[in-house]
Amino acid sequence: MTTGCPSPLVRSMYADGELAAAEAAALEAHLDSCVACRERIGALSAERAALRSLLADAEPADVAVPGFERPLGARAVALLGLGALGAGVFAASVWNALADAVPSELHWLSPLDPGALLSLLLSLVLFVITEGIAMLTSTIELAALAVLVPLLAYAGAAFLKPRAGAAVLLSVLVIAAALPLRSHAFELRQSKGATTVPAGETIDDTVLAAGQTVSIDGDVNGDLIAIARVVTIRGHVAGDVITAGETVEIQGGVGGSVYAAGRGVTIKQMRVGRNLYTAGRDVAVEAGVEVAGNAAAAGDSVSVDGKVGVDLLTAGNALVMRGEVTRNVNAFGQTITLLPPASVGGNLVAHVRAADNLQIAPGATVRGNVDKQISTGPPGARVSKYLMTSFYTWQVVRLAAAFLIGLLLLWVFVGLRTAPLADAGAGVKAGAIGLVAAIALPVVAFIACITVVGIPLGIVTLILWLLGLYLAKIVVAQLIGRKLFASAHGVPHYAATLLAGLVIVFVAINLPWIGWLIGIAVTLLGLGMIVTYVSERSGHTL
Amino acid sequence: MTSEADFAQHYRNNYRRVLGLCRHLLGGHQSAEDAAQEVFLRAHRALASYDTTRPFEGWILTIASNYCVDVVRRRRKEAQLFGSEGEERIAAEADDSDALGELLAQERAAELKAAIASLPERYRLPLVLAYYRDASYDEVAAALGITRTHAGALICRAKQALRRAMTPAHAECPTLNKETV
Repeated sequence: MTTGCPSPLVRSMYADGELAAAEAAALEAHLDSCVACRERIGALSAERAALRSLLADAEPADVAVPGFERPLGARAVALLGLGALGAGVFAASVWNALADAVPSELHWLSPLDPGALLSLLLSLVLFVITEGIAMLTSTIELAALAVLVPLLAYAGAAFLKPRAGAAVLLSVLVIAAALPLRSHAFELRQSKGATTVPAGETIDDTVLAAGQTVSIDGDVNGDLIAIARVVTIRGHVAGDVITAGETVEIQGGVGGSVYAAGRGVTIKQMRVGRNLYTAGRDVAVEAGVEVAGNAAAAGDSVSVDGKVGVDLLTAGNALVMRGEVTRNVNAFGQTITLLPPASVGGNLVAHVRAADNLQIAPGATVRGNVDKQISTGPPGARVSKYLMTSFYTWQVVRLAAAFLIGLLLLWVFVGLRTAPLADAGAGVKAGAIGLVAAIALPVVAFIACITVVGIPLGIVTLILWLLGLYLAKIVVAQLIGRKLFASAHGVPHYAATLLAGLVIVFVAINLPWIGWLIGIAVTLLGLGMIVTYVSERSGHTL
Repeated sequence: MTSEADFAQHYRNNYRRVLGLCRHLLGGHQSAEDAAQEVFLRAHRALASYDTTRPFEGWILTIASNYCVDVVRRRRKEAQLFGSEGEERIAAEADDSDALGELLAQERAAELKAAIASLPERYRLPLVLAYYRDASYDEVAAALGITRTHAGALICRAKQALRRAMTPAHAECPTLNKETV
C-alpha cells in the first residue's frame, strides 16, 4: 500500500456506496492502478454482503406473531361498560331467582373468602411492623456469622489440608446448634401439645407461643403473641397481647393493648393498660375488668360487664352490657340490652332494626342522650345476601380493586398479558401446580417459622402466598378475556380483556351453590399459571 | 390514512422484521417483543401521518429505529453515546486488510451474531441500522442525531471490532485472511 492510497475509512464508505460522486470517481481512478486497493475493496464488498445476509437471516422467521393489542377506543369503552352492565343485570336476575335456595353461610366456609384473607394479611403486616426490625437485625447478624465462621474454618483448614470439608461442616453444625441462643429479639415457645410459661418464670423478651394449648402463667415483660387452640393467659404481660384461638382467656393483667380473636373470648378480672380490641362468636368482658383506654368488641353475643375508661364500640347480634363506660357507647346490634348496674357517662348511640330492640332496664343509667338509630331493611327476617344492595356494591368495589391491581400487574409483568394455556392438558397441569403451591407454600412458611431465624422468610412466603391467591383470579380473567376477544384483527388492549374477564370471573365465583367451587378452580389455575410464569422467567421450566 | 384491516395486515407482514430490528438494536437488554408491540402501538397512534404512497415497511422501521435508539439513549446516562466524531474518524483509519469473508460469515454465523450482539451500543446501533435496514448513511446519521461522516466512521469501527472479535489472538482460523478466502 502506498501513501497515495485512500484511507480505510474512505474505502469502507466506498464499499457501502456512500462516497460522494467526486470522491468516488477519484477512488475509481486510483483502483485502476492499485491492485492492493482493488482487492481490499472487493473484500470489503464481500464483507458487506455477508453481514447483510447474516443480519437478514437473523430475523426470527419461526416466531409466532402475537395478537396486536390495539388501544382502547371510546366506542370500545362504551361497549365494554354496557357489556359489564348487561352481565351484571343478568347475573342479578339469576341470583334473585335462586336467592331463596342459598344458605348465605356457605361463603364463610370458603377458604378463599377475601375478608378472611384480608384480616390475616392485616395481622401479618401488623406483626411485621411491630417486630420486623428486631427480627431483621438478629437475622442479619446470624447470617453474617453463618458465613463468616465456615469461611474462617475453611481458611484454617486450608493450612492443615486434610478434612477441610469436614471442618466446614462441623462449624456449620456448631452454628446451627447455637442458633436458638443467638435470638435476642424473641423467645419462642412452640410444641405440638401444651406450650407453657410456668408461674414464677419471667421473660424479658417478646414471646411468641404456639401449640395445641398455650398457657402463660409467668410474667412477660415484652409483647406476647400466642396462637393455639386454647390460649390461657394468667400471668402479667407488660406489652401488648396479640392472640387468636378457639378459646381465649386472659386474666393476668396487660400493660399495653389487647388484640384477641377466637370463637370464645373471655377477659376476666384484670387491668388493660391501653385499649382492648376483641372479636369472636362469644365475647365476654367480665366484671372486674378495667380497660384504661377504649374498648371495641364484636361478636355474635357480646357481654361487657367490666369498666371502660373512655369509649366503647360494640357490634354483634345480641349485646348485653352491665359494666361502666366513662364516656360514650356506640353499639350496633340486633338486640341491645343494658342491665343494672350498667352506667354510661356520655351518650348511647344504638343502631338497631326496631325501637324495641334496645332495652334499658331500670337501674341502668345513661347520663347523656340515648340515640336510637333505626336501620331500614326487612325487619327480623334473615335476608339472602343476593337481595342486599350492599352485596352488589361490594362486589363492584372488589371488581374495581381487582381491575386496578390487575392493570398494575399486567403493566409491570408484560408476559402475564399473554400467559398462555395451550389446551385442556396445560390447564390441568397449571391447576395441579397451583394445588401444590397452594398447599406447599403455607407449609414451607410454617416450617420456616419454627426455626426462629426463618420467621421473616416464613412471613414473606405467607405474604407471597396470599398475594398469589389474590392475583390468581386476575391472571385467569386476563386469559378468559383474551380467548373471548381474540379475532383476526388481533386482540384488544389488555385493559379491555382484563375488565371483561374479571366481570365473568366475579359473576362465576359468586354464583350460588357452585360459585365457591369455581372460585377454588380459578384460584388454583391462576396460581399455577403464576408459578409457571415466575419459574420460566427465572430460567427454569416446570 | 389506512383502515384497521389494512393495519392488521401490515402488522402481520412486518412484525418479524420489526422484532428482528428491535432485537439487534436493543441487544437483549430489554424484551424485543415488548419493544415491537410498543412500536406498532406508536404506529397505530400516528397512523394519520402515514403517507400511503410510500412503503409501510420503511415507515414502521423508522419508528422502530427511533424508538430503540431512544431506549438505548435513556439507558445511557452519558450525554455522548456516540463519542466524538474526530476520535472515531482517526480510530477508523486502522488497517482493513482482514475483512470478513462471505465463507467465514456463513461458517461461523452464530459466533458472528453473538459478536454483533456484544458490540458496544455506539457501534452496534449504526451497523445494524445500515445493514439490517439497508439505510443510507444519511438516514443512519438522522436516526442517531450525528453527522454523516461520524456515522460512516462508527460503521467502519464496528466492522473492525467484529473482525477483531472473530480473529483470536493467534489466528486459529487462517481463512480469516483475505488471501486465503
